[in-house]
Amino acid sequence: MAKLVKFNLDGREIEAPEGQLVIEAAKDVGIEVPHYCYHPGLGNPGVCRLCVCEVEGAPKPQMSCRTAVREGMKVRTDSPVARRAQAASLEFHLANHPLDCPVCDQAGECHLQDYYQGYGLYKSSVREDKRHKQKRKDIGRAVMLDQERCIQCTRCVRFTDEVSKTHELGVFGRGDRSVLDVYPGMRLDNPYSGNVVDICPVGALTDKDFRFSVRAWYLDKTPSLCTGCARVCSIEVHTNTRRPWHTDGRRVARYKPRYNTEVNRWWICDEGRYSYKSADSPTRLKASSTLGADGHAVQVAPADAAARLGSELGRHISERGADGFAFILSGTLSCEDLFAAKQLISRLGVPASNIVLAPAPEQLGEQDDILRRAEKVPNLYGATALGFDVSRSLDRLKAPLWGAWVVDREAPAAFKGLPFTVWQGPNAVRFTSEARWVLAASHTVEEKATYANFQGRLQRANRAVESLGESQPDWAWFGAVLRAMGGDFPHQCAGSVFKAMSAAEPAFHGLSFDLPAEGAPLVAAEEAVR
Amino acid sequence: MSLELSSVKADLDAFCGAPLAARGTGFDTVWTVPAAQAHGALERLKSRHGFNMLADLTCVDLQGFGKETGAPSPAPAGARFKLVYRLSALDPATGLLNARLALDAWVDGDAGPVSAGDLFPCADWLEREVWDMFGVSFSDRPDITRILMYPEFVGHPLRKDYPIKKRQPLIGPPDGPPRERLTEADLRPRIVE
Amino acid sequence: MKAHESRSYMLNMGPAHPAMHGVIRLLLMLEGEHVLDAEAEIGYLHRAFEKHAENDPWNNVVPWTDRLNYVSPLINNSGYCMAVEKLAGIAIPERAQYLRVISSEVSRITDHLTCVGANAMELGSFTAFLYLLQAREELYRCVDRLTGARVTTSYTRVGGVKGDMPADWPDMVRKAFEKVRSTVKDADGLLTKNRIFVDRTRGTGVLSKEKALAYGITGPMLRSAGVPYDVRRAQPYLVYDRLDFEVPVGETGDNYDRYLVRLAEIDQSMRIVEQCFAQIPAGPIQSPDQALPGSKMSDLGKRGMTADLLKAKADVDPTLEGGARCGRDSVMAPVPDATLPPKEETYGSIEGLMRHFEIIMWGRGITPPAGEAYQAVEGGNGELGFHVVSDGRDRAWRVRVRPPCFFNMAGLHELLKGALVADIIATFGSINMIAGELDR
Repeated sequence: MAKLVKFNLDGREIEAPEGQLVIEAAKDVGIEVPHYCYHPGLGNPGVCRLCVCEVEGAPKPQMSCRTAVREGMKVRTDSPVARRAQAASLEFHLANHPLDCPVCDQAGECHLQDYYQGYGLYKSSVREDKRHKQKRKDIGRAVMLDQERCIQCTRCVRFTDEVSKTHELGVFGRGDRSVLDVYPGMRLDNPYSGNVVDICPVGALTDKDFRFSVRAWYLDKTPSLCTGCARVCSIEVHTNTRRPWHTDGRRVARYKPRYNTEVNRWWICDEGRYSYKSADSPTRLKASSTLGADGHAVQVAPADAAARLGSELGRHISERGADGFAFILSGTLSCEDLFAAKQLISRLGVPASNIVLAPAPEQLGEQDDILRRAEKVPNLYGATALGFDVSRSLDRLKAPLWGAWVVDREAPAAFKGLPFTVWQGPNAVRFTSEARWVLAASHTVEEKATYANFQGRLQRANRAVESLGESQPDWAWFGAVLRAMGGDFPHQCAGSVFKAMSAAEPAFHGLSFDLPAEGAPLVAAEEAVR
Repeated sequence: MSLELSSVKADLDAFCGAPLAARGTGFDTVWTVPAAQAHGALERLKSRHGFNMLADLTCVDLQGFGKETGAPSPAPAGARFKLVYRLSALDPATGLLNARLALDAWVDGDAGPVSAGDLFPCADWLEREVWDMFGVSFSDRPDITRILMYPEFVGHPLRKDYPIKKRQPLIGPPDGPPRERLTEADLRPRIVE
Repeated sequence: MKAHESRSYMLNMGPAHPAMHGVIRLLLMLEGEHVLDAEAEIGYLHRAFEKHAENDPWNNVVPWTDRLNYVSPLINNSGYCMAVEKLAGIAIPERAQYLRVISSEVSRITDHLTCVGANAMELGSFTAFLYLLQAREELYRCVDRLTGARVTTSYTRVGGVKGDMPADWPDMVRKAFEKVRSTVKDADGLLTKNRIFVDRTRGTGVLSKEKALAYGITGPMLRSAGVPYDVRRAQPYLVYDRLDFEVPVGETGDNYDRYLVRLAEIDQSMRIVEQCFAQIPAGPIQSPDQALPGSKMSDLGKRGMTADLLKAKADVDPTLEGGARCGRDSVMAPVPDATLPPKEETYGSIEGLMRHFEIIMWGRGITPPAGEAYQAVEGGNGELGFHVVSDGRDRAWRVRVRPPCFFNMAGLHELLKGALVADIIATFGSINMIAGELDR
């Protein structure tokens, strides 16, 4: 624990750990110091010259990202000298900046715009033509480069050097000819390339996928979770409900990472970043259905579906026995979903060997030491904590099966002919058209749900958009069928399910549904699993 | 402004039994009266202090005030609607304003105070508009009906929980179920008995 | 003739009726030709102005205000912007204040010309109507030159007015006033001593002082009843305290007095405008640099060829938001987060473009502190008040329009009780009910 020192910042007496950077200490007390090149995860080179502060005793203005807090120092970030220096630095950065705001995606979240309005507001003295560089340069799978807009803060260069360690980007040339570019022959193709778009303070590096889709100020932001792998990174879901025609009706516009100290810090991988497309893809199920006598799907309202399914399933179980029924559950089910599934399973009497909880085999992933985990079951720890055996293999199923309830994953081809099958999930797969019952489930962005990642950290996803059509959360389906079979499941909202779960399951004791933004460890959080 | 408001305030404080919260100066003076005593205050102001014109009566819905900006809501706990009575003390001979005054009255739920229709006849229409737009009712007055919206309108449009793009149920034509489009039969002239 | 049994019956007048200005419905209880009672049903032109004002940024509400009293749109523009400026604590430049006064008075003249003309037409005098509309046409041309539109002017912004008046505009207006004066003289000659007109308007629609005050009636109706209440005198705003004008007052409060009051007010408004032209602080010196059309500036700027763009003079359409630099500072308050930069800066420098964006984008732009403000102006029909409530966002929390027509119409049934059916037309015409303001 570093020693706390007292120093004076903008006329206020502040206590901060000794050695903390002035810019960080200012942020902790709510004072914003404009900056470009500094990033807590990427070091502090002090090249942008914007974070100027006046330190008493120093003859020249200092960079607050290069100055550490000392006992008794007096710092002013808002003195006339500091403000003039900030405005001058801005003017230099803007001297060759193209007039791109109308066509630049960054408008609305651009630090040049915001800092000019906040700290600049000077009259431009540029009377010359601006220097021209390459625009619209495709440098990678996900990223578009516009060299004119770059202010050479080198955040992206440091990212590819220090975080992704792929060394693709660099600044070439000097003076006002310096350009950001990929090294000759290279492309920005690492699995974390999308992050450079987040850290770029201007519109030099923009997301090719998001390019020209919708303006940033029309977006609503909801904190949520990525369910791509067992890390369960914290994300922000950006939704566009105000200008639906800009994104062709797609409600979710993009995912952005959300800072989480223990899980993903400032980054997410590209696979997770672009997994938002499933929320509004044409494969989304909007209504539940059953196969009619003629083999065609007949739409059924949710309440009806649960009742009829429950009675049919009950009949089959009593006639053929629960040993021939299997639950093939996707790994993307949340704790609430699994808790409800547990209750349904025990009511039905399905043996534990017939519960398979895993993503489809073709979803095994790569692992690296940055973020990605090979384990693609996001709620790994939660499932284990709830007593599920997370197994990949379908060989453990007790043959012969007469029926299966498949949740959000592809089923083996052999399941097609089974007498009673249920498919439940948000996005249809091949098996969806073959299953006897199809239940439309809502997507993660439409639910309040908790997931426990491989570190044993329980986090909560929030609802960014309303459930599409008649889809319901998975726990609501399990619960409705349970009720139709005479069981007890009184919960109407995820919070209520969580409360029951926290009371019934030892791993969740004492936890509240209102988890902190960065989540909280499960009670029995031991060493990371696998 | 020739009327000295401090003596008016003292009188009103005495009438209401407690000093009224005040803000603004001159023609922008605003006093907060309890809704239950609003009618009495208006009557007093009219009869004793020469406020002879009710310039305006309106309502403000403060549900969700300051949610995005963090600004503190002026509403006392539990109150949602605020009625604003705007009075003028006009000198009929010179046409000059002796004073202007606004009275804020916080409404309990959506049951407003006694109607001011007996003091100022224009209050009838003003209260109808407040009811129509906000659902705040007034007592001791003939049945309150909608004034700007049509009678079959459902809801109170200026409330903050009424979304601006909300659709209303279809009504009419009178001789059948509501139809989205008029048919040829509707457009032909009919003889009505 | 034998005595017949007589009964009162209900006659429905409107909402679609040639004599109903706009759409409004009058339910009349008649006994023969006498009106026993009248009830007005309004709301046919309700377009949710107040709801829209809560959903659009502060400046975006100005086009909605055009559509309130649509025969005097500039008064509504000014009134709304003044209320927001009061809330935000913005003081507008003096030249902008004069421009608002001038434009408001021109609007007032068009309002009165329309009212008197329509009233006369309904009583049979089509000629007076067309004469007065010809005069109004001249004024509309002037308004068009100034704002870019005849009726939907959207001239003011929070912080000032959209653009300065062209250099030859005062002469254009003076010429129009010559036409107005001669036309009003003609109409006066046709109507004021006209037997038919006087018989139909004298003694009909009588409004007493007490009734007027009880119903909150203001404007020409109150003044015709003998109370010289005019917001420009009672609570002066803009530069009215420096201007010399009379407030015409009637005696009996009948339709004829209202007609006379309106004609006199047209005269007074012209007097005010002429004083303003004399008093208005000088505009900027127009620089002799060559003018570049805005589209060309924008093109060059986008391609980074910004050499000398900031020095250039923009030749921009007067309807284009932001306008040219010359004259900018004299008509827009220098509030950087509320007013758009001039086009030379928007197209010619990245700083101007960014500032432009920072004002337009949602969540940015003018954000008055949380609070309320009420600003009353003298509209064509009386005290037009704007009560704005802010919670600190970039859009209003609540905008209430105190519509003078509303109160005039609330008292209509008092004027019609005991009148003849024929008097309804005369009375209703002289109230100058504008559905846009009544129903909002």
